[in-house]
Amino acid sequence: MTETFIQPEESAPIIELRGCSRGFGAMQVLRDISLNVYRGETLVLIGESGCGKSVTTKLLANLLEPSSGEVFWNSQPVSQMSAEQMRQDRLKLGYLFQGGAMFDSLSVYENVVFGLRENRKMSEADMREIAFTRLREVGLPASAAQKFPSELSGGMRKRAALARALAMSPEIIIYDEPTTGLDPIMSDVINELILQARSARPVTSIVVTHDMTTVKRVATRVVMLFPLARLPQNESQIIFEGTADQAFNHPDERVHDFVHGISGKRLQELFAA
Amino acid sequence: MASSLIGNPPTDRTTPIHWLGWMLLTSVRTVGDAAIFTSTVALGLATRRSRSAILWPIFYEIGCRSMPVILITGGFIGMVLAVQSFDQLAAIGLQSRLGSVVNVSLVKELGPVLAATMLAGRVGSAMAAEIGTMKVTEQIDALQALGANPVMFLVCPRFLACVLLIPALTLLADGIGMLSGWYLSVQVLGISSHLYWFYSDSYITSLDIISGVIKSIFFGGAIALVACHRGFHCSSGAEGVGRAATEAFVCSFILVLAMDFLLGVFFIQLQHLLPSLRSPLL
Repeated sequence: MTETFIQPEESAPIIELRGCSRGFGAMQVLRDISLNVYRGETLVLIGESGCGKSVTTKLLANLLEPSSGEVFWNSQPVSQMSAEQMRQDRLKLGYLFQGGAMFDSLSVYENVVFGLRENRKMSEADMREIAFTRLREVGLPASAAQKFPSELSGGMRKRAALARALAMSPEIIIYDEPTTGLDPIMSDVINELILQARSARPVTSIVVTHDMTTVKRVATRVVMLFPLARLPQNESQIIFEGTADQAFNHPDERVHDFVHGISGKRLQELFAA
Repeated sequence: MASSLIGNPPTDRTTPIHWLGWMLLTSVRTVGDAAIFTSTVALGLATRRSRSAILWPIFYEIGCRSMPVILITGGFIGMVLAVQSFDQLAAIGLQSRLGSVVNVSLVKELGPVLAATMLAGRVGSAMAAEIGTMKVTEQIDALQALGANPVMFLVCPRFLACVLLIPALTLLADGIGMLSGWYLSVQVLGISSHLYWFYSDSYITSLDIISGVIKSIFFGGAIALVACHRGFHCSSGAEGVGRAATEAFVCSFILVLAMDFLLGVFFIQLQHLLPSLRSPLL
């Protein structure tokens, strides 16, 4: 890592991973990762498939526990939080899952108000207003509210999932591959929605993506992870941290090839294997 | 049993001792995990009430939509018992007592066990597959992210539905089995209707009915817990979901048979201790 992004020193990280490792069975995915997320920034995680980006976001959201290391929310270790405090703090966090993760058995409306119904004592009229406002914000017609997720296209489902994530007015939003599987126009719509969500309210965003257009458009800071299987033993799994411009002009061949979509050395490795 | 709980079998030093140790550890881990899961469900049932909008569709799915299969199964079991028992009883001149054999077998054993078996196949596998699919498609993570407890949201309503409705379905299976057995005995095998019901009444005790219902409550709870547990520990992909559904049926069926044996022994001992329970039903 030759260039270093300057952190805003005046603010403590809103979420922090400290020396976190995580594996599944015999397969180690993350090794000794330390990562800070600062209030108000849009952190973009990039890296090859299988390098542990989604696992990192699940550690940040405490949907997975690290096998070693510690996760801190507002400087407080999550392992020492009570279940109720954890639930309350988690409500400040919205999560757009890779496939949307809409509840199949519920209508779009019920999906959007799910978090409100479970956690807030609100009247049906208030929930209805929030649901339709969020659906309008993500460009879905009111008629979509009564449909079931299976009746929506991929882009509509992703936007409905975004409306659900925004319904609780979260302070932090995690987008896990928001544009994967969408056509370029719909990808641009999603990128625009990420920017709108940021401008409409003070929100911290964490975006996992392979889409370099998304990186250029939304990132205030970029972090690149490298697959553990091909990483030298003593090197950090975070091989780059900096701005989008720094990523695109980085001398490290691994970063350069990834952001420019050059198969080069990786292709040789695959054929050699 | 549990793919995700088992971990990888030993590969580097595969002596019988390593295998034994691995299997022992796996068994302990699985039982411990199931115990924690069950206690979480119990805590959920004690502390939170499920919303009716969540409960009713599950009650409808488990109760109403299981009725056709229960009616068909119960009906055939009653007739099969009558046909199979008739020749044996006729050989010793006791064919008039056919009603007692058919109905005691149904109420004490076959009704609860067969209803539980059918429901383990129809309801248990479906629950494991549904929850497994939710896990694979990150819907369970989404529940957590939205501040809901997945166990309380997904398992407690299903557990309640199984515990409350499987006894009702068992009684339905008993009833339809009795009627079909009666119809075949009287209309086809030529047994007197009066004698059929007279001997049924003489041999069936109130404890037989109660033990059948109590057994089915245990069976319902076991089916729900095993199916949901398998769903929560489903491994990824379509194969993982399929395996979870199969494991849910196989494990709950074995558990139903084991519980049937243990509860059967318990109720026989109870009958010895309290002879008044042996009184006829009416």
